[in-house]
Amino acid sequence: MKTTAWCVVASLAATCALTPAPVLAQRSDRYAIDACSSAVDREIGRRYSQAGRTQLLSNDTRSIGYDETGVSGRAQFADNGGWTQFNYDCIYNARTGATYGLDIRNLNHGSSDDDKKKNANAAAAVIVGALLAGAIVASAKKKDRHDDDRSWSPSRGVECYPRESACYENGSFSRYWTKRIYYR
Amino acid sequence: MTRKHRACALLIALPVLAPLAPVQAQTLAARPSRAMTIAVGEATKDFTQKQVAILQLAAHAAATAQLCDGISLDDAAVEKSVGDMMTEASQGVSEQERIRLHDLALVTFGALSGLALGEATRNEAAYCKAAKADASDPEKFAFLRLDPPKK
Repeated sequence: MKTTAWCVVASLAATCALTPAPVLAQRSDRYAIDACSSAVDREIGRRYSQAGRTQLLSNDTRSIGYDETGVSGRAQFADNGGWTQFNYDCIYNARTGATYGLDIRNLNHGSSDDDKKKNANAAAAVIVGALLAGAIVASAKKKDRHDDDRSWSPSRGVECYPRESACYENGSFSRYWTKRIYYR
Repeated sequence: MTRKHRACALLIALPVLAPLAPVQAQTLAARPSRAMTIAVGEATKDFTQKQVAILQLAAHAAATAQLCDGISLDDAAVEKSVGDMMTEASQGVSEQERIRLHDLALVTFGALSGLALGEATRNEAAYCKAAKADASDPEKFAFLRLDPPKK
């Protein structure tokens, strides 16, 4: 039994030791994509209460620092007005497992020009409705969201607060870190 | 009273009200004050983290320019960033919603400016010294610029 256990441990150790760097990088990218996908899905759910699950259509990863991987691309979600596509950008920290710097932009409602023209008014109504509904839901969850707001540290002596989009260094608001982390 | 007037009134009034939040003064704001959390509360429902960060940075820049000699607000940079932010935030929304978002951004900016000014005045010399260092490096912070030396 002991021999078997040692074989398993040795095999795992060898696998880890022999795993080439590109493979590790691919795994890291995979984690970053998964984490950012969840973050985008949560944010869309928060903003648009009628939105279905978000799908990433493309994901480009880029290494930002030793621990950070940026993920950006195109994604979509379904709502009552059809598909809505948008661009996203997100950063994943492999050390803390946190995602931040989430940016969702260029929302494009409808799947074709014809659909867009046909559904323009309906889509606008849905967006406003979703925003209003989202605001009501968000308001109801205000306490939970505040409690759930955890700070994280991108560097020694620096703490960043996602809810406030603000970073503090040595006890004071940090323009540099706030810009670097949240204003990209 | 126009929206600009309301925002200006807030800018003027909030520094006076800022000392009403003395709790964070004891700890030198090692984290956002409760007042700041409340100030951005509404904005976080409609704006992304990046958009709220623009309001934070613009508000701190406005407070710094008001308080510190030799530092001015880079009006063009602020106008462009806030303008782009509002265009992005208003995409695909009705005119009524666009106005609401505009008002929300202005009110949040005013509240954050007041809080920033309140925080800065607690240790004005150190704050302005750090701000000057940041203003001299556009890579570090784009919303401020150093005034040319007086002859």
